[in-house]
Amino acid sequence: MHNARSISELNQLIQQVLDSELDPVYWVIGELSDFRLSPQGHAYFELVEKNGNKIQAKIRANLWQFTYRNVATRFESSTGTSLKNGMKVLAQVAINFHPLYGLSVNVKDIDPSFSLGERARVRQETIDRLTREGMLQLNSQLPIPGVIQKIGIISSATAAGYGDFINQIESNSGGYKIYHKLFPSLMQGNDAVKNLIQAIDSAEKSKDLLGLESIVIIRGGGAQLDLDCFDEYELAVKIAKCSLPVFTGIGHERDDTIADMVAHTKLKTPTAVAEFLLSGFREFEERLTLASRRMERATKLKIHEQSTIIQQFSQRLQSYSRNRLIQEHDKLNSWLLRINTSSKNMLELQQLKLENLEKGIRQNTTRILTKETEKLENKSHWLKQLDPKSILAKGYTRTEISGTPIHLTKAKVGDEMTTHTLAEKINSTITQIEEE
Amino acid sequence: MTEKNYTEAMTRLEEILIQLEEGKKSVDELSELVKEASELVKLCKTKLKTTEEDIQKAFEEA
Repeated sequence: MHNARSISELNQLIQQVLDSELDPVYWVIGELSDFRLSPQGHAYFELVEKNGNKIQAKIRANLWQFTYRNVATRFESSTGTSLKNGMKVLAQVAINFHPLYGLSVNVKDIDPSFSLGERARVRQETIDRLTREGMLQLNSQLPIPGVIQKIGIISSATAAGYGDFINQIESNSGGYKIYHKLFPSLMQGNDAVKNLIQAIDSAEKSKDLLGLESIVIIRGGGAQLDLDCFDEYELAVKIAKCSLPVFTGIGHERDDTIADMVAHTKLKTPTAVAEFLLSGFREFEERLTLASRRMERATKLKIHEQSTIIQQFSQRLQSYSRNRLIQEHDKLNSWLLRINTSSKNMLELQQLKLENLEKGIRQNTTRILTKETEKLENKSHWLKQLDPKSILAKGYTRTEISGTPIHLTKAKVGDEMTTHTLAEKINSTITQIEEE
Repeated sequence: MTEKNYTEAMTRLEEILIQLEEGKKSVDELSELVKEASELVKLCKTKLKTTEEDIQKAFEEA
């Protein structure tokens, strides 16, 4: 039969070897995993060694209540964050082997400066990566309206900062109205990053429906702890790539978180975010007032200018009209004069023409009458000359045979002739006819 | 027969004058022509006078 031992004996042997061969304490570097607090105030977790995401080694660790209180307080005051999963720590541990529970370590101390440095290193790596990927300025390039009136708020409904923020935007002295919708999210703890990313997604999905113009991430008041989620790469990328400008008011005293760095505008507190939003209203109102005043001044000036121009026009128009009237009056007078003269001339001409015609008619009538009289007189003269009495008076006689003048008939011997003298009628008979 | 206007009367007077100058009219016709001419002259004179008065009146009003 083998020289068999009981489990207790084996465990006791292991205990003895460990006690004799190992130092009382060791400083080890490990990542906190499966961290939990018991009701008694003890912390139980595992210290893990990873290569990438692959666990290469791990050991159970206990942080008893008293030590935990001291260590955690010192750690939190130094680093601004509490001990939590995923955190790399430099821990002073004592090896502990329990017959029933096996091998574990009791954590005696945790050096916060290591975690600070580690966190700073990780943080810088994240910043460098985001810089390389062009994420830092991405969200800040989005244009923002002068007045932001519709916002999606990512916060915890129970957070004091959220209450302050709402109170400030709803009871502002300017009476400005900001429509806001809360997209609730955990703002600290292990699930905060996942929650925040989901909330940003929800806000983006509601963007068109609600007409959102920006997203504000606020977390304020209370402890300055557990801000590590705002240094996470995934959240930073989500904020950087968000289609809406993101304003942060994470409320912390320490350096900016990476979320602050990738946000469009970073403000210290939720109150500062509210003030920033309201200042947009105030500036816009001031610009409006100023523009209104300038417009009023410019309008008055323009009206004055135009009035002057109109007055000048009016004067010029009056002057021109007067001149024109005078001109036209003169022209009319000159025309009247000309018409008067012309009409008189024409009348005179017509008068003359008429007189000439009348004269012509008179003259011609007279001429005709004179001519006719002359003709008459001539005829009368000839008639007088042809009057037989005047011939007879000269001693001539007229001889007729049977009433026919003798020169118009053939006288024969024996014919009886009547010879007329001025005073007598002598009858005779032809006795002889001789040829001349 | 409607009363002649000034232009028509003057035209007629000219015709009468030409006829008288041509000396083709008989003495019997002469009397009638002269009578007509006299009427026309009277008409034209009246028209001229009326026109002159109208013009005078028009210019007084203007």
